[in-house]
Amino acid sequence: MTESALGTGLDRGEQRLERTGRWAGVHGLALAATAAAILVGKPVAILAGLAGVGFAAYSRVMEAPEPELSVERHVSDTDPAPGERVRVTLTVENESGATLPDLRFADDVPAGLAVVEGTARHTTALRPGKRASIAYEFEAVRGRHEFDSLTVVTRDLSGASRRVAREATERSTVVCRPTYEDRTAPLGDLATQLTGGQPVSATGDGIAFHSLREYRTGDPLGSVDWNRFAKEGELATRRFDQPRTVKVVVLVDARAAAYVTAGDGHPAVDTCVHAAGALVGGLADADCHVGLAALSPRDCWVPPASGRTHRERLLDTLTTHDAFGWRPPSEGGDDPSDEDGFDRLLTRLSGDAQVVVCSPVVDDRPVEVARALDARGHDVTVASPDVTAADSAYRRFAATERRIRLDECRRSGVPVVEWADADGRGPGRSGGTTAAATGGHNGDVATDGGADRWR
Amino acid sequence: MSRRRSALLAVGVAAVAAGVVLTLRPGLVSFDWATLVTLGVWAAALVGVALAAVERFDGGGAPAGGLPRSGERPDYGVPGDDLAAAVADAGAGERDAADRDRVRERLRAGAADAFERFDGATPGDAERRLDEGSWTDDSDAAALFAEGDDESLHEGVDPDFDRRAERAAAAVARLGDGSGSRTATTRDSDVPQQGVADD
Repeated sequence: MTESALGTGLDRGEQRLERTGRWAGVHGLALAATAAAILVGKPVAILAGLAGVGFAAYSRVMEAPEPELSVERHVSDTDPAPGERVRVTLTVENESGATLPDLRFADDVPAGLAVVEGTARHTTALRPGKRASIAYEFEAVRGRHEFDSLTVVTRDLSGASRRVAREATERSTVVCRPTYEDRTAPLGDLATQLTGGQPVSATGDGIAFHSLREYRTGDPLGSVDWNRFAKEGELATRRFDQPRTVKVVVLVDARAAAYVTAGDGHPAVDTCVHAAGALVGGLADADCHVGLAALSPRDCWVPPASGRTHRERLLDTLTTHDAFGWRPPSEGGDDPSDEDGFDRLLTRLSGDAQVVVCSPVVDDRPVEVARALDARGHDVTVASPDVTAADSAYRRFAATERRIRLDECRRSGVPVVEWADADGRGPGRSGGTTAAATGGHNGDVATDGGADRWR
Repeated sequence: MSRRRSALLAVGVAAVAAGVVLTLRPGLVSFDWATLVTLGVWAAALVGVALAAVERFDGGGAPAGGLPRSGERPDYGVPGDDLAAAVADAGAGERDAADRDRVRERLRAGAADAFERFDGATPGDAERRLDEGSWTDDSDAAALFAEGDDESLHEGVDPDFDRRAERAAAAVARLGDGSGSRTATTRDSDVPQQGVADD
């Protein structure tokens, strides 16, 4: 079922008959008129009451006709670039053999697509074999958008009843793939034990010295800096540059709470998806194994891996997966105790994976998630586009709440990136934000700790 | 003017004219009143049917009930609008006291956090100044958290809640604006520490 199906509450191919209640009072009027006529003893006045009786009977007997329509839809471009206009022409033909005195129809335009010219709705009366057409244009946005139905409403002549139907039509799919940037976020200290292409600092053997850190039980004796111990009496462990594999899961906040906007009509989830796409490209270029997950009742999980095909899979998932659609998820998922799928994520997340949380942080949940992941030993970074506004006291208050939450993350040791898109969406509104690093360079990765004082 | 409105206007003018004529010349029509009422009802019914039929077959009218929204994005809220709606929904009476308390709690928590974060106050300081009302120069905003001291209010009734809540939200936002936002990527070492441990 496409997202557009939700307007009427009907599934594709379903219909229902409704009473409009338009003539609800006519029974009373008919009775009152008849009673008055009897009271004054004028037989001719009873005829006035009969008029009401006629209407009441008609509204009870007649039912809205069942539409039998053939529908043709033509979409001018099924692979548009973001922002391009796409023209849709829809033609409806009455095949029922009877006149439809009141026919209203609306194309089920997928959520996220905004009609910018023309209208996707029409009202007409249609004789047998006659056709009615509408044409409209929408602006393409990220996602896979499926046109597969038409909402039709028919009424009888009196308007006493109406039939609402979701007519199934041939499927037309429009896929709009944005071009994601390649950017990285600062990563933490965690890496796998696998040799990889990412130079990181780790204890053990090595040639290029990286840094010192405090000694921990279990560190190999060969890594201890004995000179330092002799001078200062303090045990320190040397770390060397080693090629390791870094595993990163990009977690996109796609809960209903994240479907907010700064007023430009784009939900924060869309901005987070673009941020995640940029991170996928940047981290993959930096030889990280990249995975993807959604913090949402709608399950989305792509385990970390590398390679061009995997990268394309990640970007395709970001572009087309339901979890990142334009309509907010309904409250609760399959598991009422795990409303946003976080518990499910924890069972999938390997212990050596870092997590970059892409979230607008408009409520406390992302902070809780970041802290919980941090507490389980994952290195966590928060990448947050600013979707707050400043045109009312309450909106400025919400912006202040967000800044406080981000500050809580920093106080917990979770790095925060205030995310700014290249087109300026999402970011910068709080003033003077700095975007994440660009160019696919992963600048600061360490595998086993490294407080600044030891470097 | 639409065809329907034109027809209704004509019916109205005719009815007024008939009324004026019958007022000036009583008995002009020889039918008794019951017959006239009957004819009037039938005439009105027929006119109604005719207008409905014209409207149905006209086909140029705007689509109305029964059709879902189409071609529009969902209405995404703006952060903060939920709080504005909660304030608007909370009435001034005693029965809405719980709703007001929920709003007040959120604003107070935001104020305390902002006070600590942007003004460097300790949690105890922040709570004390909120209780005293000395956290802002705005007396309306200050009164939201210290209304127990306001003897002009009836118990459980707060006729100025909307105004006070809005002023308090603005005052908290000013606390945040005053220090600017943190812009660069920062770690725990960049902000006041509260027992952050090294790895």
